[in-house]
Amino acid sequence: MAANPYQPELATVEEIIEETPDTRTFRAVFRDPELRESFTYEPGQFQEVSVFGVGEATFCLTSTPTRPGVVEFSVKQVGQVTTALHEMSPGDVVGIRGPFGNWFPYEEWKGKKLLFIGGGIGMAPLRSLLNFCLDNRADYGPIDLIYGARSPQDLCFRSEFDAWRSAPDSRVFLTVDRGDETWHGNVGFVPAYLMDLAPSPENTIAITCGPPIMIKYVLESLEKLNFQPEQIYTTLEMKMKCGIGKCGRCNIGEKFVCIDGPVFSYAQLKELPPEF
Amino acid sequence: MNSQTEQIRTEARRLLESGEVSVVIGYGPGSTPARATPVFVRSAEDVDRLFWSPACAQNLALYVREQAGRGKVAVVAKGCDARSIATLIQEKQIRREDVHIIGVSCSGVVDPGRLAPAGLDEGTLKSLAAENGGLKADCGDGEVPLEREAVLKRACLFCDTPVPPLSDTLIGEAPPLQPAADQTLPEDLDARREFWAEQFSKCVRCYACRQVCPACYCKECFTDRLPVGWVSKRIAGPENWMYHTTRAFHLAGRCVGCGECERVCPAGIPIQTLMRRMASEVDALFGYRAGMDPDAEPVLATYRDDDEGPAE
Amino acid sequence: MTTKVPPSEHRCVRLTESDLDKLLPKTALKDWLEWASTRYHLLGPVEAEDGSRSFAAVSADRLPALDNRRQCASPKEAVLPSCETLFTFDPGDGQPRLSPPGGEFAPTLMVGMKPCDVRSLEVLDRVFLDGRFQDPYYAGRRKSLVTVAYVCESKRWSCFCSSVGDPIEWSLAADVALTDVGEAYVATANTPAGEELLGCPAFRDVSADELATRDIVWNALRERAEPFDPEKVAAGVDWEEPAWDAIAEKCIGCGVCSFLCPTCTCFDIQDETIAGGKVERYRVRDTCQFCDFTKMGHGHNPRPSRRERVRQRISHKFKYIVHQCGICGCVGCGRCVELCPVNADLRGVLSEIVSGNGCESVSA
Repeated sequence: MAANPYQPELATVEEIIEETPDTRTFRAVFRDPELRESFTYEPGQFQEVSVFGVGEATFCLTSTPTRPGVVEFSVKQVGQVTTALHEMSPGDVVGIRGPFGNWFPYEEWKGKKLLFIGGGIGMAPLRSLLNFCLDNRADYGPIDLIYGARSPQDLCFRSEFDAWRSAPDSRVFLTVDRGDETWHGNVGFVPAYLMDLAPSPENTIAITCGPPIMIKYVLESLEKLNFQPEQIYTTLEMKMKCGIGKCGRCNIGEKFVCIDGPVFSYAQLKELPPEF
Repeated sequence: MNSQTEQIRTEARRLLESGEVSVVIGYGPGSTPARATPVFVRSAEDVDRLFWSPACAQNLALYVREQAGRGKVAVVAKGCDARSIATLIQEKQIRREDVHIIGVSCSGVVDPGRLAPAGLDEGTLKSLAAENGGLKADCGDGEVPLEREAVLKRACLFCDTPVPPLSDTLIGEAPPLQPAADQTLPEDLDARREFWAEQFSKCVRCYACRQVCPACYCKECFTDRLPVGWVSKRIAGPENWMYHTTRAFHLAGRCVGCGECERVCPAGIPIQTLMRRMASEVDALFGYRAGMDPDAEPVLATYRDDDEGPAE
Repeated sequence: MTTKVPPSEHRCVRLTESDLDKLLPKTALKDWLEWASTRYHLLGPVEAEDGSRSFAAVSADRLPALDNRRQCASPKEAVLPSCETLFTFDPGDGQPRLSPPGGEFAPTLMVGMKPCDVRSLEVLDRVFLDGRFQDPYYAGRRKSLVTVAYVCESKRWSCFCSSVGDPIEWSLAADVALTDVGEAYVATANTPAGEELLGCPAFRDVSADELATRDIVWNALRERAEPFDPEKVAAGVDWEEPAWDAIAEKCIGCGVCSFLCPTCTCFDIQDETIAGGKVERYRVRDTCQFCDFTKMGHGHNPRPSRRERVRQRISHKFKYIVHQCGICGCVGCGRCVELCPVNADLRGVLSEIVSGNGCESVSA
């Protein structure tokens, strides 16, 4: 990382994948060949991506460090910077600062069963960890993914579902709020589907990310299923600018989401003031 | 206790006891005799929190818009404050029947920031009182008269509405004072531009002037509309200029000259000089002064066939 | 002070010998500044025509105002400018590159920092230099800064430094501390840079009487006027504190408290396209009191009303930063007390928080 944490590294957008009508995944490579090879990060960390002239925005790394050379981030179009990114083409230059933040404590999870629960674009940070764990398959127990979106068109990373399904001892459970004539899977909200599937909490870590309302009900459901707060992890987002704990913006109580997060256990969340 | 304090408390007690209003917005004593602080009295037992003195600088119309939406409120208002309320009524931000104006005639309020330059140590100030248009203070050695021009909010020196033109209760009489002649800006436009460039370069873009102004109530100020980019966040001459002049145009025909913007400015920019200039231009063009008549149509929101056209 | 915190590593090593007190006759102040001006760019409190003070260039011909008769703008501008360029991006026709802002940080001497202001630098150091990342812009300016404290001859009505700490201990964290003893200043050097400054021939030996007078001034300043204890405040700051509603009702969200506070440093980062298709990224002063401070791209704002924002500022200043950096964020300088347009006197608020009474009138 540069000695100046405010100064980005330049990267070229190599490929833009249209996941859904409003979400695109960007694959970028650093222009500096040395950095391209040496750049590493942990699943759960984030970057500040610059569209020079428009600004910077925070995106979690959705690629896994086990597949170096390219960094990936998924962008839902909601504001200025995300719109500018959506107007880009392969070959365009962006700035990348990072990796920042903490990461999923995967070392502590070796040998455990992993339950991923994602909603919409919340799948992006989960994907980094999921692929990381699948690339280190022997380190972990059974892996289950429950993933839902508003409609079949809003599911991200569809091209990877088969790879996830066919990995050893791994299952994928998909659901949508509203189906269509092509959809033959479960129809229902993620928290409800979670209760239907009723996974056992034994030796399990649950990692969830999605719209705030989904997370709220998922946490409630996991508690009903007897998961302890220490077994549940999520990743939070707040408005960020510097990403390095200096600008004073992203705090929840005394924790800065950019330094002490974005990954938090539910046990940690319970100690934070309800300001997110 | 001065007679205005007594009358304000009596009126507040009556309004609260009868249930006519749910809150009386007034002034309470501040950290020193030169300061007051807004208080929100909701029970007749608490009316003793209210008072009146030349320290009552704030324009309480600022709170009326928010509070009047929840039921009828009473507000202690000086001449300028009452004009602000009239402006809010004209602009349909509050309904006339939702506010009971306790008007108080005023001979000017003190700007605490001007005390030290006038040689007064606010820390030793024991009392501050108005008398017959003048001011007197006790700094520990007995009461001495104060020079109005030196310690009042600058805008008060130019005030020509010491008696609130709109009120439901009126306390006090017109003080024996005349407004001062306004400062003249340099006639030469280059000199004038230089004057303002220097003033605006002091701006730190804290937006206190905007926040304290009862007429600045846009949910999203033009300065915050970053996607459009009317003015960037950069704190520099051109941007500061853009902010202040645009705000002056937004307040044309709406600013009542209460001078709060100038009082709260931490950089000492003579914002009221610009606003008064704008007000005099509007008066000259349209024969209109802000807030004198709650039933009048807002001047720049109204078109008339006989409006003066642009100079040929 | 409440939490005993060690001086930060990047501070100069504190001198342990105490052969460091000298006397500077007031008439010789200009000689010292003349001498120092060959080594440093000089800044000190300067009074403008309207009576306001701020840190600006001083010299033998324009002496700094060394007294506590007027409030002075905080010195944070010298280490953290309200607006500064972080870098420039040049698309460069296929060869894009980033360039640093350029310019160097000249050695700077700040003469006449009150104890509260000296302490504020310690708070800023913790935020910008400690932790996983160091702010290089702040670090560059800070390394080039040498400080001369002026120990206040008396407190202003709004001062409450001695309620949040020991103003003398704070003064001794400056490179030199000056105390007015009548016709002269007793100068106390605390670091090698300070000792070097006292090498100027304008300084004389100091007598026991003069030191005794200095101690009288020091003890007077240490006297605690206000009734609150910052540790109790930190413990008492509560999420559902009734005080928040009372302050939020009168607070107008103007941000003046943050802009003038010597330890409020929150900033925004923005891009601006400039001539030649280049882009300048700059950072600019911001405040948690602005309504869109925490508003996210998709519209959600965790602090939607004044109540949440007022709670944030006070909690951060007295509680969060203690946990994050081990230091109370407030230095009791009184600027917010003097400049709040609605006189929402912080001292009154803090007393209410400690006593748990809920807040009817927040003025002291």
